[in-house]
Amino acid sequence: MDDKPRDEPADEQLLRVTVHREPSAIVVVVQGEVDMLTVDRLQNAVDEALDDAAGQTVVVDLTEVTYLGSHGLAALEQASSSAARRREPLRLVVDDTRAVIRPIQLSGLEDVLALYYSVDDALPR
Amino acid sequence: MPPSSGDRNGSPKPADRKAANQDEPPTWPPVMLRLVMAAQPAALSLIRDRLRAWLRAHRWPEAELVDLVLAVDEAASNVVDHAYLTTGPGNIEIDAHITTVSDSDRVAELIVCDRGRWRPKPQQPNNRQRGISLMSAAVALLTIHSTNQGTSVRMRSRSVNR
Repeated sequence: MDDKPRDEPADEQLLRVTVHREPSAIVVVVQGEVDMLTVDRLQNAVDEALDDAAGQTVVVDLTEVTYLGSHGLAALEQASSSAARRREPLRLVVDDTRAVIRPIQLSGLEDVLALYYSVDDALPR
Repeated sequence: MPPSSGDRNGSPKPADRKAANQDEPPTWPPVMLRLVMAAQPAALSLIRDRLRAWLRAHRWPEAELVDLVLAVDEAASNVVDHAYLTTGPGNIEIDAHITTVSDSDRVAELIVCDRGRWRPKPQQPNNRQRGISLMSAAVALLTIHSTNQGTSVRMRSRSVNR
């Protein structure tokens, strides 16, 4: 079954994922809507960051995410357990944006994911 | 609104409503929202946008709006993921309306339906379950009714102030 979205541009407009390196961490900045259409790009970016991390912390900044559904939650949970297996910390930055914190709370992942309030808080010292 | 086909009857008539509530503003924003879209992943963001705009036009509290958009998106994602795997392409149909339940309270009733058959994809058995538990946590009432003609997911929001 062909699962690839055909309309790449719509997908790009919906979700932006950028990656930058801090001295102590790789930071993945996610902006926009994480849904069935866009989740693969979030997942790929986080997987790549974990591959490149070589023991460094990976920080995923979700403060500018405007929608997070079950596909996004599954991707974050999966990334967290894969990071735990590699003993590379994966830290998620979630402020009080309701569209992000609410689905995390409703699905009970609040206690499973390593949540931080700002990128500064999440960076290792 | 286009005439609907099939077994629908007794749809509310805006004129009756207007007559009953002389001092209410006319029909904007509309109390009903109907969306029919091809069941493809790209439809989901459009559905969320239209639902948000409609609820905001009704001054729906943001916290409740987030929950309803989440619930409807999960139901619609299930349609995209599962409904038409064995039957070929089809639509997602969404009907929403706002009802006044007392002097102080309103609820939104939402129906997401398809005319396919839900079949879980074997490679991701857990995601649909997660979607369903999210839906049920996000609304006051959830019922899922499946027949071999399709599935309809009915949801009622928690009540909000008028």
